[in-house]
Amino acid sequence: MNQLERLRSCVQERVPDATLAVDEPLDRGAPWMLDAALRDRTVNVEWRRYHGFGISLHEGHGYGEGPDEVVPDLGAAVDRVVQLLTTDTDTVVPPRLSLAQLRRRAQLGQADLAKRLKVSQAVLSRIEKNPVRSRLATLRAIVHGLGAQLEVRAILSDDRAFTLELGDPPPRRRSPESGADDRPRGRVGRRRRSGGGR
Amino acid sequence: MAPVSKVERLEEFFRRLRALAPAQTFEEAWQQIHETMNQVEEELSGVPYHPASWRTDGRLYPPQRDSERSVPGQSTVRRFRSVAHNTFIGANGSIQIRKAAADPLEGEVLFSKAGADGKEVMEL
Repeated sequence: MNQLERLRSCVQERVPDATLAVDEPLDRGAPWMLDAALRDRTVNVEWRRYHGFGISLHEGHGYGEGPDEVVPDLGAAVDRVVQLLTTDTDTVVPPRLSLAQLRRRAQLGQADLAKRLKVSQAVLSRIEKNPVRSRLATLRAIVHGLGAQLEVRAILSDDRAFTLELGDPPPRRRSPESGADDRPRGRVGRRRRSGGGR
Repeated sequence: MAPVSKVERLEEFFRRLRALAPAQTFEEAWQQIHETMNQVEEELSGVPYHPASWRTDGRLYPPQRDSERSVPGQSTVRRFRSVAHNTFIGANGSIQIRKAAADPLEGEVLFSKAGADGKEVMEL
């Protein structure tokens, strides 16, 4: 009996009225699926050895999407599936936003943010289009300029996620008008040239 | 460019897939699904193609070969499972995408397209 079949047994024991169906892959080493239904709720669990359990609510799940949540171990997966089946709880899908989306959410135009960061709009536009080429300090400065804090996550091969410890940003300087600091924390848009380059 | 939601990207995927000439074989249909979805996501999702991160990166991915399941009594139709859907592909190039259900053949049909011979998946 593999971990998904164990999960089915445990959930069935705790929620006897649930209908549980394992959808077995032709290749037994490939991802297995469990569909657990109770009244109008259906929960899907996707499992592959060493990769934990992907858990999703069927309702509203788009074709080709990954799971809503990833749970590393059997016990936590059983608890979560039971909770989703027996309560009105929704899965928590971490929202993913681009820098531009985050900026719009903060109700700031590109020119406004550029001014706040003391860089040209063209530089900010370039960073928003291709943030992966930016230095971490630059991203941190932009995110800070939007009134947020930057976190970097490391996702392991078993899908467990950890927030990386990056050290504290430089101390805040308070602006006399607002009492809040509105200056960027890093140097945005100016990259020091060295012999090696990227 | 304004952000494009997953719902809008899916609609675009279905629209483009429907607009293609009917496939003649399983492999051709498989290729159409993959190329169309990857093209839409490349243009509209803003998330780089990295299938190993499919669980967490927010991009839509087409079904993978190792997600294949059996289809009892249907030797000319293959089924590929994703989280909440089944993709059926016929040997004649027909495609059908259904919501997952206890009986995979009973799930609600979201997309269906006949193969080059004019037959739908469930007519095979």
